[in-house]
Amino acid sequence: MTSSIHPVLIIFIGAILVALLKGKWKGLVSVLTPILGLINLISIDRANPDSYVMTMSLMELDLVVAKFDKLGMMFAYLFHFAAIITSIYSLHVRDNMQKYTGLLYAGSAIGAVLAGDLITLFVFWELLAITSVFQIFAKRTKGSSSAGIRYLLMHIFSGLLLLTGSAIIYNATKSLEFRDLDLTSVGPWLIFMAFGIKCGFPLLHTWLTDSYPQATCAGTVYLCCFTTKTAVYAMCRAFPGTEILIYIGAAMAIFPIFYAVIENDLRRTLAFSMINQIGFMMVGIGLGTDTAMNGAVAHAFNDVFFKGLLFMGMGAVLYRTGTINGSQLGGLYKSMPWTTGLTIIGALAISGFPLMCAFVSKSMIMVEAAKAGHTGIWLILLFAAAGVLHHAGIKIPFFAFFAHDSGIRTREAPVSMLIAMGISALACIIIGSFPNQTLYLLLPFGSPENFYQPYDATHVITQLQILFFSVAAFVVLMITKLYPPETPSVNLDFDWTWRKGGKLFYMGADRLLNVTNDKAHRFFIINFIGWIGQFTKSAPSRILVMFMTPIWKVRGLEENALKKKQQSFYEDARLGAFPIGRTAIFAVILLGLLYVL
Amino acid sequence: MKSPSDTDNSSNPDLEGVVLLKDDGKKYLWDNPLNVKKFIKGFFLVCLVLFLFDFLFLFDVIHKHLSFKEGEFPYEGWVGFYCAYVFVSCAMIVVVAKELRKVLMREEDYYDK
Repeated sequence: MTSSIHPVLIIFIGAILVALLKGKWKGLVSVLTPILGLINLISIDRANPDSYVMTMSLMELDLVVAKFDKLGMMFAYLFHFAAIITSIYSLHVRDNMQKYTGLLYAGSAIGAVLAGDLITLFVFWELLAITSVFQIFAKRTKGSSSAGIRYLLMHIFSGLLLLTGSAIIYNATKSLEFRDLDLTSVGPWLIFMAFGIKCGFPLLHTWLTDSYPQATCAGTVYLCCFTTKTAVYAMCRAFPGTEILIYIGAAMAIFPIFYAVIENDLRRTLAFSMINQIGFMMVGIGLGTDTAMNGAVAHAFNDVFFKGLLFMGMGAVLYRTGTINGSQLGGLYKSMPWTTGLTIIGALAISGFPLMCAFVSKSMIMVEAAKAGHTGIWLILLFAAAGVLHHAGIKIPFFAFFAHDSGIRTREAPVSMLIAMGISALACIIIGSFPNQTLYLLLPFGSPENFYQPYDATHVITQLQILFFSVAAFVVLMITKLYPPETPSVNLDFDWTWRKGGKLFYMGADRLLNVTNDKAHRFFIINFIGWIGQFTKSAPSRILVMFMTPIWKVRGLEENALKKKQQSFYEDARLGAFPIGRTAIFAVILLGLLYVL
Repeated sequence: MKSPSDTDNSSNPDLEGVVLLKDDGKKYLWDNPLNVKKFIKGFFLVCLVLFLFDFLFLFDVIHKHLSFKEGEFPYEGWVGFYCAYVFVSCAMIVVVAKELRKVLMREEDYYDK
């Protein structure tokens, strides 16, 4: 059966149904919708060639609302899987708004990765920003609403950059097609920055670490699956082989590590780790070879599963204990054994343990960096890989579930959460163990016979060495008590510039603009207008008086009589109350003047 | 128990599922320091074995595929390169991060002031 239903349509209709339905039906539809969407997507994939498109005409523009090529398809599949998992995970959520906006959010992400032109991309890009922010607002705390606003500001700005860039490109090329761009003019640069904001480029990353810990426990899982992955996709499509991405990626891979080590909020630690992982992807895209690009998209694909799993584990801890601060947790393996086990699988997967998914994808990028002779970058990535293991692989499970016993005894996470985590954990293992039969079927670049094969003795052994000696460093530092303890704190980041700087800017703007406004008001509205009014009212009369005075003087009027005459004439002129004779004389003079001139 | 951001609004949906039970006094696996010691010993043993694998590479019992092209980065093939590099990296991360904390750390409600 051939389907020609736009995949987004199914998800959006499902979202509307979820909003309207009540009780158990709500949860059921929220899970069934992405499953139905997935079936639709598979039928489109089976029935059509690689270049299949869906088009639409809008105001004399021919829009490609969906383009089903391999790259877009891979992400569309990914987002359907992610939507299924997140829907199951959030089955416990009773908040209606969070449930249907979650589906709208997933739908927007699917729309964005299938968009064939810049206008469609822009529409879904903005929808992505708007629908996702409800996952943050849904927490309904003061902290979450202000974080949500900051998040929205950043993302709307990204959308505006995309729109401006698109307009400039359309103006220059008369084409709206979304394809690879060169960073040679302003238009592509604006689009590059728009994608960069969503990717979490250094200094623009603050929305990520600011908002993820503020979302609800299910909300953060949603956020981690869609927004940044859409941005990685867009980067892949538009800027493959852009060299600057290698360096940006390396920076992204390295700086969050230090923050992650000293961060107390475990979900923020994961947010930093997210930037670090996207750094790897950026390096892959920057390298631009088939294997490196495949590595980037494969890593984005896997990241949804392992990072999603870690966020789900931490969400479950937050849900049961009410806190996610490392300083307050510990010893939870006693009461949440399943969550512990599943989170450890996520930790192994993100660290790149053999038979786990990141073992496959991270290596593709690293091997390509080495092949291209980027020694420095390769060393940074190796450093970063060890760092990931340190903060995401060890710190997360260790401080939440082991470390010292915090005395917290609680219940195991709800079954729906465990099922969602179980699916992700299974995906991590299956993809890592059988990449050829799973992930590699979806890889968009190059031909399958050239795909990177991760399982050889050298790679397995060196990877195990990396893993075990990173852990060894952790163990040694713990035993010698050199490891910094978890303490309740906030660590300053570039965020400061936006948040404190924003306040300063506001205060400065307030002082400067309001004072200027006040002065301008006094000068223009009160003084100037009054003066103009006075001028227009009295000027003609004064001129007339000036004109008449010599005539009166010639007629020999005395000082006092002249003054009186001037006064009464001025009043008459001001009120326009002249006798008919005088008006006639003026009219004659005026006509005479006109005639002469 | 709760961080300040959680307490400023009681309608926070994340607190619906919170269950705090009393400690039933049961002893678990890692409550026994002996188990921890055994685990650490076992762990370092595995590290040692993994390190020794480098000698199999050295004597070409197992052939080592280098990531870099011939001669571009020969250190990669040295005995203990990966082990030492990541160990030092990780130790460095922690030391640097600890120093960073002195500069960057603020009270939890820093941004609310």
